[in-house]
Amino acid sequence: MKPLLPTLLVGGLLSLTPAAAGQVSAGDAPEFTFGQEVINGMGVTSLADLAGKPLLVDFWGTH
Amino acid sequence: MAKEYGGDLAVLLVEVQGSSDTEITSMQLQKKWLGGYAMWTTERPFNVGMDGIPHYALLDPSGKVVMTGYSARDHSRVVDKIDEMLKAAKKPSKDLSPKIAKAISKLNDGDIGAAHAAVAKLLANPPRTDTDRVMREAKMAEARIVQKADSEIARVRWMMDNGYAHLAKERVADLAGEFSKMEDHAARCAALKTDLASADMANEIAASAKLAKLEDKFFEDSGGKFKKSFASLAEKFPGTQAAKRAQYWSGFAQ
Repeated sequence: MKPLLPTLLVGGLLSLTPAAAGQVSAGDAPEFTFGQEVINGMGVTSLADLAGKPLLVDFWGTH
Repeated sequence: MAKEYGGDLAVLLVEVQGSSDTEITSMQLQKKWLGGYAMWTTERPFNVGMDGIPHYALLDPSGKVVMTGYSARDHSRVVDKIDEMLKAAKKPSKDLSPKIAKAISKLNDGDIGAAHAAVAKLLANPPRTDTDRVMREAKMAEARIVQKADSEIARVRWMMDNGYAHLAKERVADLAGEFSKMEDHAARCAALKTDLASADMANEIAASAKLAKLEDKFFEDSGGKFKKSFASLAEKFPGTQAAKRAQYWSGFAQ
């Protein structure tokens, strides 16, 4: 059985978001250090801390 | 997805509409999204050039973007790609010389000690063939191993300072074994272990262990009945980081 993404990921386009700097595409290896605590990150402070396994970054909103 | 793949997949959810922490946490509790492996942030680590949410970026274990798209549309493709990457991770990379690929594979599995030992052996005894390439890769691998080890130490300290001392104690015991042949990291690990053995930390450890159990239940049912439990914990372990977090959750218990 295929695993399910959380419901927030289903439902298509919800709203527009403003473009931001630092655009990446396939093949790029972005670097980023977080300025604030990553909730449930147990001390993760940068994208580099998450290397070693696949990383799914999902951009979502509450509205 | 974070629950299904467990620790094999890192999931980072980025809220991009400028919602407050309270709004986000309220939604997380309502939807029962807390208590799993997913991480949350309001900081956008990069932009994939897409309008409309939700959208995603999938990165491979080396940190490279593999695919991007709209989450609903690409669900099956994302799952297939993750499965493919997890399968590939079991085999050493063909982009690296075999012994280095094997060491990196061990590192990706969290086996820092074994990765370090393999690379240290190569650096001490360079191969006779393809020497330049292997040595270049070995130095790269060594840097990654040290970075990973540094990150693990930093995260244990973070756990100690942020109300997860019971997890810090477990983790430092694991790391001590990993760092047995890494003198500097072994020393730093020993220092953390000493700190964790203090009377103050004993209190933190007891508090955070109790809070973790309470949180597991609270994330399933964030009802008002937990207000009293969180207040009681904060009262029993005053001044601890766990007490602060208990007070924080108390505000959401309804």
